[in-house]
Amino acid sequence: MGELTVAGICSRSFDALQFVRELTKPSVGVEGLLCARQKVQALVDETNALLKKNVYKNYALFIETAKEISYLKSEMYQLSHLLSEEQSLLNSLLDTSISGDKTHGLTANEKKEVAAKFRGHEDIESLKMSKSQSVQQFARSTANIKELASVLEKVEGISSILETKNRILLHSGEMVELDLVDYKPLPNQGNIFGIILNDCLVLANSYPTNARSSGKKYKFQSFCELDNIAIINVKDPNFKTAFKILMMPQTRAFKVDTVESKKKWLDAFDQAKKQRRASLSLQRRDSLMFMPNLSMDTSGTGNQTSSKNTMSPIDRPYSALHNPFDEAEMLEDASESDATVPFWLIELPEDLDVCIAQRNFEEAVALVNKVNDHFVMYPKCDNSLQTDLKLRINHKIDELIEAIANELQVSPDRSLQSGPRAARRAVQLLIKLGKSSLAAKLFLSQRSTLLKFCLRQQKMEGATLQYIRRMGSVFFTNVNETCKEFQKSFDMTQTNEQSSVISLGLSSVENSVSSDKISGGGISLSPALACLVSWVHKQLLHFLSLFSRHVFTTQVSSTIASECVAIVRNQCIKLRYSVGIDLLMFLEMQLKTGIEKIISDCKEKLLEAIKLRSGEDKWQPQNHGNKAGITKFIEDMKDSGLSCVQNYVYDECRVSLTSNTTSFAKSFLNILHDLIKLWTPNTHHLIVDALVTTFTSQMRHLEKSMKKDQFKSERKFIRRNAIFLLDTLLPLAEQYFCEKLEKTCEELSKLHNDYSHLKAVSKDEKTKTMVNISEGKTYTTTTYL
Amino acid sequence: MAGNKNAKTSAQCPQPVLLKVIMVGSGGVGKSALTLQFMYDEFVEDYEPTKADSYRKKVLLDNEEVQIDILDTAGQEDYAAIRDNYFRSGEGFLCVFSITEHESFSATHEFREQILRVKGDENIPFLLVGNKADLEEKRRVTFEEAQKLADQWKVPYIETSAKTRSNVDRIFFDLMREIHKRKMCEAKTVNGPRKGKGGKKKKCIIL
Repeated sequence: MGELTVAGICSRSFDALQFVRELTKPSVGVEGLLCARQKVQALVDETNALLKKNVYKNYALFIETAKEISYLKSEMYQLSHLLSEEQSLLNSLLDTSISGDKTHGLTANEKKEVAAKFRGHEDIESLKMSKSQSVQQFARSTANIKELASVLEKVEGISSILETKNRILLHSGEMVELDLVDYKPLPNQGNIFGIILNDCLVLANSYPTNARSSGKKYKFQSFCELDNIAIINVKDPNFKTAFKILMMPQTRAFKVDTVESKKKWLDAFDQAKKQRRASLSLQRRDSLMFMPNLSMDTSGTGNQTSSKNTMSPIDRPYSALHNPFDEAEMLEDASESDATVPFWLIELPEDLDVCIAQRNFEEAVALVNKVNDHFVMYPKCDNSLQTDLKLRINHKIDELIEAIANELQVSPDRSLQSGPRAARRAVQLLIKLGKSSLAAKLFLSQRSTLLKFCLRQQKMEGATLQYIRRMGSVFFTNVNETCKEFQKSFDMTQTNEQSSVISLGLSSVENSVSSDKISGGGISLSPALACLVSWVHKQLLHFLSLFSRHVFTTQVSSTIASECVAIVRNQCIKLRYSVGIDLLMFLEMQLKTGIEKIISDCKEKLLEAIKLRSGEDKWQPQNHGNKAGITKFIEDMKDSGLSCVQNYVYDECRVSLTSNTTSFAKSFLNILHDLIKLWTPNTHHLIVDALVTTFTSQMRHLEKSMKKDQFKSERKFIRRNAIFLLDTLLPLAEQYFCEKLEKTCEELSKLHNDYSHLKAVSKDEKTKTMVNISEGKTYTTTTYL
Repeated sequence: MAGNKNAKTSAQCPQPVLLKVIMVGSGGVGKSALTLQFMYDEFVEDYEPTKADSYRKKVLLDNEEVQIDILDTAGQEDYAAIRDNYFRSGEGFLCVFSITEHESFSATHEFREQILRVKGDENIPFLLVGNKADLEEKRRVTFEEAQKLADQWKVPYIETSAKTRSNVDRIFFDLMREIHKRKMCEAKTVNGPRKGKGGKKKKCIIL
């Protein structure tokens, strides 16, 4: 009994029953019990005091914690508000994407249009309705932004509801809830704030004035879908501003301030209901269209399941209502219930959008490939969600292609000097997207624009030859680069291309050989290659028209013209070796008339000159006056390849050849050099003809002179000239011809025989001539001295 | 709060029993006219389609004060989809058609079906009302025809005229009586066990 202390009671082993038993066992009589009672009483007091002390001790802590909690709570509210604001901001940013295309914000009605078109069941009436509705909604929504903002300020915890897509605020305001039985305001309750959205009703009750946080008057209370609500106008002279809302399962009565206000509320409800019905009937039609096996009843509660399956745009906000605060969960549910559409696929259009906006085309293409793989694996497209998604994705892919294609567009603000490699990225991406023909088209058109620009950049100033050389180099370098890049991009195996020559013409011997090679090698011309070839052809035509304009004019000498032709031809040959495209045939075809004209011009000019000189020929040796003159002459002749003229010099300044002969020899060799540059199998006969005709013409002159009595005394001299022409000049020409073309010119050789009689010495002169030839210089000096 | 209200109601006169009547039927058959005639003893000639109006009136039903709550619903087809919501709250139905319009009579099938579907009760208080009986010369629905249908449904058939006020009170009172009777029955069956519970509780407290 003595051990009755606080510590004893507090100990865990304390047994009340045991304690009482022990207490009563030794005591006898009332006094002992009273005494025990007193002791217990004392103990109680002591314990009370202790408890109180404990409470006091913890009280401060308690208050602190409560404060902390309420503070935390408000923080959380603010945080969630900030987050939802952030979300809406991001959404609006997405809506106004850089491309300016409002694809992200495709309204439900637009989507519906697409779907309707897709199905081929255009219900014009319903579309009209939905269109006008969307217009209405838009107008209203802009007008209601202010109201929405004020509502958001007043009411807490509804931002996630209000900021859901496609929700429009129709009406909001304060109400007083009434007792259903006697229509008297419910006691102990502040105002109710009601918000009618286009698909739901949100009610918020007022905060108790003392616990108001974050300055908001109302706090979210309940949420009800419009479909589960019916509104009833209370017609009671005593409660003119009252109305009832049937919210399954309960009914609530409210009253507002004025009759007008009540009318607004009723009208707003009515309007919301009407819109809802319109959209529901549309949706019903849609779901019937998409899923004929689904039951007709999509209204009411049956709606929920069907909406989850179809996820048709209108349904979205609606099904979201079931879980307004956790959309993510809702989506997860949807993806679970519809296993064929993975989550990433649903997000894909948005992701693609982002990639396009960031110009991260590689990523976008990777995504597209992923989708394609997916659709290959799951080709069936049996529900509207997939169809819708597919449509959207296809739309996005088109956008992507357009964006990449834009990269290949030549615009004035972009550098025009970029090489073909700059386009590689875009071309590769397009090929990956299966748009290789578009890529080829764009790439080539870009290249041709750049080529044109580069050609235009070349200044006309300076000699034609220089100009043409530059042009040719620019053109062929560009073509070369383009072809190489093209072959690389479009995966034409280099080995094949290099080993054989793709010939565009068959007429030349070489070309026909190479074409044989092609058919023998069994190389199929791919469409891409055909593309490239036709491009090159087009460019060449353009270039050659430019070329002809500059080269085949009267101002340009035949020497330069033929040099230009040779340059271009050489470039063509180089191109054939580097990329395997033979343009020679086209070149010849294009330049044929020009070249022929050059040849005939050369011929005519030389004939003219021969005629002129022959008329004036006095058969006198040349006299260059002094040593300097003869040196200059010899140098001049050397330049034309007639170094042997030196052998005919005597008396320091005289030459034992007529100026006619040397001039002709010079001209003839020059012409030969020029014409050889123009040689092709096609022009062969023309060139030979020109050479033979001119030479013959000159020889005829000699022949005539030989016969003329006037020059009887000069016959020896004439013969000497003939020998020079036949034995020196002609072999030189033949040699040159042979060197350049690696074949002999029979026509020229024939001339030896034709005019050998001119060399023949009449009997009286024979010996002298022999001496002439053997002694040369000494003879001449002696003869004329 | 609840206690407060209870105290209040018990302190004043006991709150009369609330009987919820719903007027159904096609548009323009005279649901509102019947309601207004019953409520305010007036006949409104102007026709204005109703959306959903609620009326209340205290009446003496067999010497007992009851409160009738009339929900006058929209007959127009537009509102068909949301009728469910209204019907759920009803305890008894006046299914009105116009004897001058056969279509409105045919439409009663649909209303009946919808009510049964929503309420899930074959025996829900229900009256078939043929209104506009004053327009005998324009009658398109015979009494026999309507009576036959009513018999089939096992409900009473009454012809009324909102204009002449003939049978107007009768349909409301008949229906109220029906509802009241039913309510009393329900109260008995529902209250039985509840009373037992209450008794037990009391016992506990006494102990």
